Amino acid sequence: MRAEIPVREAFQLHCSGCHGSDGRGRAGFVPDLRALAPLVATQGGREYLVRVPGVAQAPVGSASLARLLNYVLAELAGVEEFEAFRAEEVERLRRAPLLDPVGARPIPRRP
Amino acid sequence: MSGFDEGFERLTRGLARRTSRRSLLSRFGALLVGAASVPLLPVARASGETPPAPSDAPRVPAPVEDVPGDAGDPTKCEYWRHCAIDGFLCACCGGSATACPPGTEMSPVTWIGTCQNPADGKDYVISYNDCCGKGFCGRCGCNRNEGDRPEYHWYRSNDINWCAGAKSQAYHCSVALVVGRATEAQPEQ
Repeated sequence: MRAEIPVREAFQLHCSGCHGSDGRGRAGFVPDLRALAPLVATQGGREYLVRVPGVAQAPVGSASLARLLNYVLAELAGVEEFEAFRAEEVERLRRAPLLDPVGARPIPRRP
Repeated sequence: MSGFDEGFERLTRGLARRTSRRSLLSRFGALLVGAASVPLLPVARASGETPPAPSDAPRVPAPVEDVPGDAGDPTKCEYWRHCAIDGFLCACCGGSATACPPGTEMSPVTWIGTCQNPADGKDYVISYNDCCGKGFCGRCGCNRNEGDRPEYHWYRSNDINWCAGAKSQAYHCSVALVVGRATEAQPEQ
């Protein structure tokens, strides 16, 4: 089994192309990862974070995906307290990707 | 015939004697060409460029500067950073391997790949940002595609017009920014 690449590098490869190296995204086009704190605070939000297609279909194993999510929440979104994602939870949730991500958003879109 | 009419007749007959129709056409043609070339003057083009972006502007990746032995010719498709590019090289279009030509905007969204630097044998993460706001550059087309993925795997695909995230969706050329070290090439393979 190959060693894991550093999580920062995995973020660069799999996330930063659209969300940017600081997770800022692009207003009205790519979501801002720094604003995820309210999302991870609810169960529906946690599930959304894993089931949204860009996450669920990322070409990485579920352990790596859990590590990426925890990195984004802790380092980029600055969420101080949250239940860290584990591989089993990610594996289960990503098997049911959202077919209508916009309709499933647990928090309203900002105008 | 009034004095006014006689005077005007002398004027027009004199003009007809002194000038030919060919002369008139050539002068009119020069006027047309001159008017058409006004927008090509540097002053006119500079005024047409977009003003500097405000501080809230979308960020583009911060390139890594200290890449060892980062030599080579960025105007060549064979340049190591171009291992996964598909487009026109900005170094041939008035920009460089890391900077967009004047008058274009670097796309804030892009696709990411890895390339091996022959100088140290190590892999680097490369951000292929498109430069947007002008039509096709048309010079130094380069299509190498190492690690390129189908478009349904959009953020690892170089067939997408990444200017979709810029103010103008007109694609001009592509840069290749080194944004970090890669532990290994194409880790998902």
